[in-house]
Amino acid sequence: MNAAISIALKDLKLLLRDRAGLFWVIGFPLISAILWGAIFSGSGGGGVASKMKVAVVDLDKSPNSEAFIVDLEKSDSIAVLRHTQEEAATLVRRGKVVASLTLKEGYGADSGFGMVTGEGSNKMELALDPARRAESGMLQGMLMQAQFENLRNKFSDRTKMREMLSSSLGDLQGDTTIDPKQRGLLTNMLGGIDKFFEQADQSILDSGPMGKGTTTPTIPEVAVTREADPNKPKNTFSVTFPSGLMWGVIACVSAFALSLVQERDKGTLLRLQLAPISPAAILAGKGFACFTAMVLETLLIFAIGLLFFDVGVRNLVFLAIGVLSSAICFSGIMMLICGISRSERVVSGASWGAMLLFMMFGGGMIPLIAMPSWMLKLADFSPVKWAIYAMEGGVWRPLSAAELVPTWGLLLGGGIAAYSIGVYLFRKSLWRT
Amino acid sequence: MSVTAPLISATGLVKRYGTLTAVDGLSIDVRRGECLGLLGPNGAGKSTTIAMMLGLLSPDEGTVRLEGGGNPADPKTRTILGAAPQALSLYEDLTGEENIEFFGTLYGLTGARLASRVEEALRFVGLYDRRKDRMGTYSGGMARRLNLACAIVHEPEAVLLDEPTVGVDPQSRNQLYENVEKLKAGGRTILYTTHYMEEAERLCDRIAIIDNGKMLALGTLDELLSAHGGESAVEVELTEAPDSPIEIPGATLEGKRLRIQTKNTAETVVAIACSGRAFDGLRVTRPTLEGVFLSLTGRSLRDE
Repeated sequence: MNAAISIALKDLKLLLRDRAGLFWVIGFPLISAILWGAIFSGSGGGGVASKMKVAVVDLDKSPNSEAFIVDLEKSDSIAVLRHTQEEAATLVRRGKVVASLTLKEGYGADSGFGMVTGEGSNKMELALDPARRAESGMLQGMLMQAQFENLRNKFSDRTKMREMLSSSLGDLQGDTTIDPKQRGLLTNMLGGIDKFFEQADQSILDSGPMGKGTTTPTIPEVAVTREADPNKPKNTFSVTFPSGLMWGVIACVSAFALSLVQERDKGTLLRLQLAPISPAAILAGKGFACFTAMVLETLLIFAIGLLFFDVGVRNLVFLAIGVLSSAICFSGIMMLICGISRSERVVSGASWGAMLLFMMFGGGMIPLIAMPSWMLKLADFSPVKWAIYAMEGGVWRPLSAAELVPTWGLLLGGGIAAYSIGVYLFRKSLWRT
Repeated sequence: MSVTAPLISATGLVKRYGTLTAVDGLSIDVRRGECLGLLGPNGAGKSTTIAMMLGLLSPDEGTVRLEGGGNPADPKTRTILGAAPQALSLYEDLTGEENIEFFGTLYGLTGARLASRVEEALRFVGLYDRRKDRMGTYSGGMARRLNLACAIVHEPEAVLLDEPTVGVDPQSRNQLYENVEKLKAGGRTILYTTHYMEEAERLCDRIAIIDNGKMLALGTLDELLSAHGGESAVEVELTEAPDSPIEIPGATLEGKRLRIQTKNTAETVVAIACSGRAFDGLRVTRPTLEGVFLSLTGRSLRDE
């Protein structure tokens, strides 16, 4: 037993000194888990990616149009991308933005700011990506809100309002199509408003419904705490961490299978055979080293997931059994690969080749939760699937012990069988009689 | 030190690989306290013989027994053996100290005893100052010495050294010779395989000549030379070329150089001295193991 532990400790020390090996065992699985988790959660590109991208074309180039765009840029929901008219049209056609918004010439001088004038004379134009109609309503609402802000700012500005009223009165006087009686009424009304803006206290302007001090009218929101669905993962990292760490497990399989064959090729196995220990102890040492490396790798990656990525643990005991049974299974596979391989090259090829296939169909590359049904059927033949399933049983899958026992049994039974066959074949190839 | 009791006894060993018979009926006793050399060309069957003596290979025929009747195939009985395989059986990414320590633990050494034995082994092979360096950074000679240190860390009674100087520079080779001589002086039994006759001549108390899996001769250096080495040669550089024949049996003359083949060197030298002829120089050439091998196989050992 002591000899087996000595061999295992020696192998773990050698693994720790092999930087490339260590990257594949710990670095790569971690990168994979984090990367896929970020991609699936939609947070991979940071804040801009989560906003609605809108190309804005300012043909007016007025202070009002600039003020409107600045207001839009302050929005939490819209990412404003300033472009020329041609560029904006191209971006919409290629689906790079949700829509393009054009502020036409005269937008700033228009008393209705492009929205309340008659049909055909609008100073604002919106071109929406036809494939994303669902977002158009949301975008219209956001634009209306920005427009309202713009109008409110203008109403609370005495000078701007009087300039606008003066301009409107001028237009009214020059319009011969209007009935003189009606023109008189309108002139009196606009004159009255002008007088109001001339004489009213600023506090009155600020406190009115359109005053500067008021906020945009909204429907009051009731605080709602979202209830986690117990049948679903806590977050995407809860799915990608069990899958990603399988890369480390297969790296361990490859590293230790290779190390055993290297011991044979380099002659160190001869010295191990000379020592007063049984062949079984030598192979047990190798298997134990592989098992320990897998367990440590799994624990380390889960710890990182737990601390930094909010990967929950639904049942610690189930997780522990899942990790241990998976490590036993893959240690057995490692020994089987050693048993059937005769050289370093064969071991490298066999271990990575077989393991990549297992990964591909077992959920190591595409999460089980995202697999089509036909692939899930193939996945049944991959130990990677059962290992992920067993670990997910401890992380998020709402499975009972009775439901997980067959998976644990499959992993343990498969591991022990593979280990036994591997040991038999390896001993047969080594201890010639 | 008694050199009579066999520590390892091999009887009628045969090992076949398909149609090739690697070892063919070899019987040999390694006596306690002696250094026994297995001398033969590459492929003669030396390493296979050692592997069977270590219990790593089962002979197809014959037996190997350790002192007291133990079978070396049983891991517990072969703790009295230590071996330095021909291939460097070391871990490149472990330091010299860690290599010895690891192999020491496999022989049950722990704690202070292990630390003390590791230090002794390092000092014995002159690697104590480089103990913290990874083995991968060692020269060929240093690696060979570390290979030896790993073989002796558990203080075995017998050390089996399989071609321990292959690929080693002359300086390191000398250090290894000194290490083997120290082991001998310390009473260790040594089985030493080599295809360098100089090593066998310098280090071995008895030498077994092996070829094609068979042991052709076994004895001390003198016994082998006298039995199979042929006659010694005495060469004399005369001051003047003789004008009449020299009446010494086996003598040939070329100008002023006289060469005499003889089985009794001393008598021949006396005969030359008594002949009354002046000479400037005299050299005695003894037969060598090369001659022994040539005589036994019809081939030169160096040709292999």
